[in-house]
Amino acid sequence: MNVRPRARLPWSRGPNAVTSSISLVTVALIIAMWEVLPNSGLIDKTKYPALSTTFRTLWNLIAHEHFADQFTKTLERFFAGLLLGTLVGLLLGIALGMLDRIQMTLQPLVVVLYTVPRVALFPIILIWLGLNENAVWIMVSTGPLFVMLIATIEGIRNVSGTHLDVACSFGCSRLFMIRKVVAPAALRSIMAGFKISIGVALFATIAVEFLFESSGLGYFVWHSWGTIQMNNAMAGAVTAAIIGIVSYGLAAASERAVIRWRP
Amino acid sequence: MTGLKPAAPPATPPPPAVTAPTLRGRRRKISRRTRLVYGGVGTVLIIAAWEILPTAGVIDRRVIPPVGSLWPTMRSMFGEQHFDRDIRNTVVRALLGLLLGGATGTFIGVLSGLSKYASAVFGPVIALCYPVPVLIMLPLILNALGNGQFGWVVLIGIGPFFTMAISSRAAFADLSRVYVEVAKSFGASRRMTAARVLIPGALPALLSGARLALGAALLGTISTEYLVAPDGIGRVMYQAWNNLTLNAAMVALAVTAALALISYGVLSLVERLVLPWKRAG
Repeated sequence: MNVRPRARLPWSRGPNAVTSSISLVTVALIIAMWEVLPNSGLIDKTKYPALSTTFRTLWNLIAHEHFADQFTKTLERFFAGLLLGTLVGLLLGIALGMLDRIQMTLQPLVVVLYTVPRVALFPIILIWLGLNENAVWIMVSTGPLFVMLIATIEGIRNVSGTHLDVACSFGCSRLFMIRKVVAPAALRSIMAGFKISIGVALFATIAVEFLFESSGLGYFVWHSWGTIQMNNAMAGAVTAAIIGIVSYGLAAASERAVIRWRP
Repeated sequence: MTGLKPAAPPATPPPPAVTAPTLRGRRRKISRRTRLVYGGVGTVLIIAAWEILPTAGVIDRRVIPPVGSLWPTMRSMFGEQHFDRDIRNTVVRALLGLLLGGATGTFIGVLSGLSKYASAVFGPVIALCYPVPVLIMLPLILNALGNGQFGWVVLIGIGPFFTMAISSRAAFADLSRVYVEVAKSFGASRRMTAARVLIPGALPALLSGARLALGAALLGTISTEYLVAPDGIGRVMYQAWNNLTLNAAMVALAVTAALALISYGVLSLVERLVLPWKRAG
């Protein structure tokens, strides 16, 4: 009997000592390259500042008050837009998720507004509201709004019918049904949507600051690039990257905290 | 044959029913036709309101110009301002970015889905880079590749790259182990397992990844054109804001929406062709 080679797949066995050390070495190598390549002259360090240069610049910038202002400005826009969009999207999503006739009627509008890249809405918002802080918040909020809207509708519509039937058989009240059956079931999709919203909102914040603003990290990076101060541009970019990584990490942690059960 | 032991049937949950929770426990099945009728009525109502309300003066024409007034704008944009050229440039850039980023992302994702060593190499780097807003890296990328078509395409490709890397890794890593065990028990060769079990099993997740990648490519293209490209739909939008021409902004928005809907439609068609078993559900 011939023994054929069998398919072997590394099914999520989790990390072991070997894979963990491979991961560590890879990350260490990339960090080392970031430090060594520009300093050794292999790549132009005026165009690509090394790790140590970047963080030294960042340190100097933090001491400089102007940079702290840019940082808080970006953070403020990001959080305000995220909060506004998430809340409005969630509320609209709950309403449309429950009222399916209205939802079906508005579906084409929702789909068009969701599929179109959000930056395409910016000129219209700007022409309507003018360039001010409110308009910036609304531009940032468009992303989270539509993502949360779709995620909430999805979550509510995909509540298992069996669960509803069971709850109904036990004579649950409407409020109890919403609290104990619909909300927990929809929460998965809603939290997934929130995680996406974070990235979308930060992208929009940076885009708005690149394009229209004269403050914030996006402006700072754009301006530094334009005036060929790559050290500053890199320091600003790293700061924005840290905002992204930290807020995404927080969202992932809160998702784990809110959804304690596994499907 | 050795090692042939009965495997438990795969514990796949039944597909989610297309029902609306009525909160009274009764599940009302809403047919596709009802949905289409409601959607059609909705579309007509919205377009009618868009035309009638501004013309009747209920809404200020300067806030929402009636649909009818977009026609002359559109004609002049396509005629004198060569808007068709901008559209073509945008489509070409989006497709190139999608292909470049999507293909590399899929390659790395499939590799890390199938091999734990590849997963160990790419996993942490991708997880760390994914939440970074792509645009902030624009100066670095354009420094490296030049402010030209190639640099723009790479910039556009970053979004699809991460989307495909993550979703194709998950597509293979999340496949139920039981399927492969069954194939193994029946003595399927590597090739056969790949062709009959792995690829069909991963395809649905791959295609929904492609849907996200498409959105990322479009977003990247419009943003890049806003910022650095001399032409394209994004540039037209930026000019519309500069000149405060609401009509032009709306035409550009409508064209972008049409492009997005067409490409999603094509993808749905591919989905129906490649995943015939999903059609039933």
